[in-house]
Amino acid sequence: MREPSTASPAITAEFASILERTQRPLRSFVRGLVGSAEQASDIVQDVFVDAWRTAQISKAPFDGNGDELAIRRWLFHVAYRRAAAVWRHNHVLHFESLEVTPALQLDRFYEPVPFEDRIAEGELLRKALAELGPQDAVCLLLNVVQGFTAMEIASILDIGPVAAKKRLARAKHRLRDAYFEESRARGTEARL
Amino acid sequence: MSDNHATPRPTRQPFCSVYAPLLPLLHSGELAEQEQASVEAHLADCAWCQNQLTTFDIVDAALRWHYASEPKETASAASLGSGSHPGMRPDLTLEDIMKADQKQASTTSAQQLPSPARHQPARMTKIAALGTIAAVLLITILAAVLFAQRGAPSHSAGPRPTSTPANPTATATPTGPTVLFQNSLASPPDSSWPNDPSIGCFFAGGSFHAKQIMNCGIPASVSYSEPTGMYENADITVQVKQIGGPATGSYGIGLGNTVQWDRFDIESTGKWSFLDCQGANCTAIVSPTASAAIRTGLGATNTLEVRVVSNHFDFFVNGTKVGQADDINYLNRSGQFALDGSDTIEVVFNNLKIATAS
Repeated sequence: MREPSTASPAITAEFASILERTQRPLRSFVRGLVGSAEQASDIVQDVFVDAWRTAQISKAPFDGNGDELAIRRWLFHVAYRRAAAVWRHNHVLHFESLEVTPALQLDRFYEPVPFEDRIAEGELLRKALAELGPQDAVCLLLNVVQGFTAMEIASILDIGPVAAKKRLARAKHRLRDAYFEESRARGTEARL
Repeated sequence: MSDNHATPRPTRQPFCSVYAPLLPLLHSGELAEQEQASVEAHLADCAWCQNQLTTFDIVDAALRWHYASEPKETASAASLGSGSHPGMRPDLTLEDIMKADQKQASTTSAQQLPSPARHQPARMTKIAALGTIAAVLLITILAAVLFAQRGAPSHSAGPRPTSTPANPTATATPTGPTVLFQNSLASPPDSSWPNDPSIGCFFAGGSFHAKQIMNCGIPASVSYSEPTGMYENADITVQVKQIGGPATGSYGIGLGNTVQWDRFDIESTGKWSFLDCQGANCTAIVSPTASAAIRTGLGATNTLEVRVVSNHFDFFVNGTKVGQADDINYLNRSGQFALDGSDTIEVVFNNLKIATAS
């Protein structure tokens, strides 16, 4: 049985504040990886349990030093690991070439998506993300949505900065291609 | 849907192939200053690249719109259409986390994190149920083997650490080494092993590869087979060979969990180390130390062995003891096991054997 919390009141208060500020971006990030809001909520809760256990023993980055960036990196790192495991168990991994996808041959100039098409767009995006490998998807979500730099992504994913940058570029190519291919397949050429 | 654009299709220019790979990073701020300037100069006169850049921007904007933070009032947002996500739940509170922590701690006997206390969807329940059945079957088989070999298991003489989950039936320790798992790793031992080149953990050419990834977590079928439920009485042996990347990269055996773990690593330069890691941040319990027992250079095969009893570790390379260490933090970590490597190298593993240490 786990012993009662040994975290100091200051660390407990800081943790509550971190939880308040970071859980929603973390949940949307995980949802982008696993595709399910339900599973994302479960994973995020587990991530914060891990974080809470770390805070209770005052270990970095939950040691009261107020290094918010380090905390964010830690949370996204653990969330990624857990989400990748769920992804594997869901058997939705796709085996794809590591080569950069050739540039899409575009026939038309793209126009912004009208607001009323957002729902269909969300579904398109979900499918397109599912076609990426987890490391591609995670690079995109961390950079485009969460605003992490390639250097920070490298730290979160335990990879080199150069590899992070390459994956980011590759992921953007792949997502764009998958997104517009799916759009064409559905005949929803409103986006084109 | 409109197909009535009068704009002629932009044509690709000779230098587009040079700049096109840089376009996805242009608005991410990830290009060097010089790259940024040259791409922007090219873009000024190239409609094709402008077109390409627009497509990236559109997808980026869509991604941000759909995957930015959910609204705080999730309950009301659930009825707002495109901004909502089925399965969205109210925000977690610290009390939720503490309850989930307590529940996990009290119900974790085999170190497998249970489903959260508050949220337990049917899918997770099914997974947990299947896992429980598998664990029970595994323990039954192991018990049968132990009974067949020794009549009955003896009990651990020493007290268990207080942080170890209380489970009297799971603390039996055999009197002699018992092989718990043995496999050549020429192919996946079962479908639960990670096997995906895109994540860097995969089987190929008769070996298990860890390529440019910090660790390849080994699945529950192995991680939880040790009778105590934790690797606190284990002798792990594996053959490893570095086949790519700089010789200063380290690789070896990881023990702990995805957040906090210990690594017994070697380098192809002939050094070994023992690291205490918080995620990717590791501090040395034993700094890289040269040993003549380690075969050096890319392509050299070394047999690593780590024996752990409680929080004491003994390290062997090619049958020679190279050192030992204690890590008091180890006992707070759940019992998972990984084959690891630095993120710049590729290593292959074979002939994994896990036995009890005693």
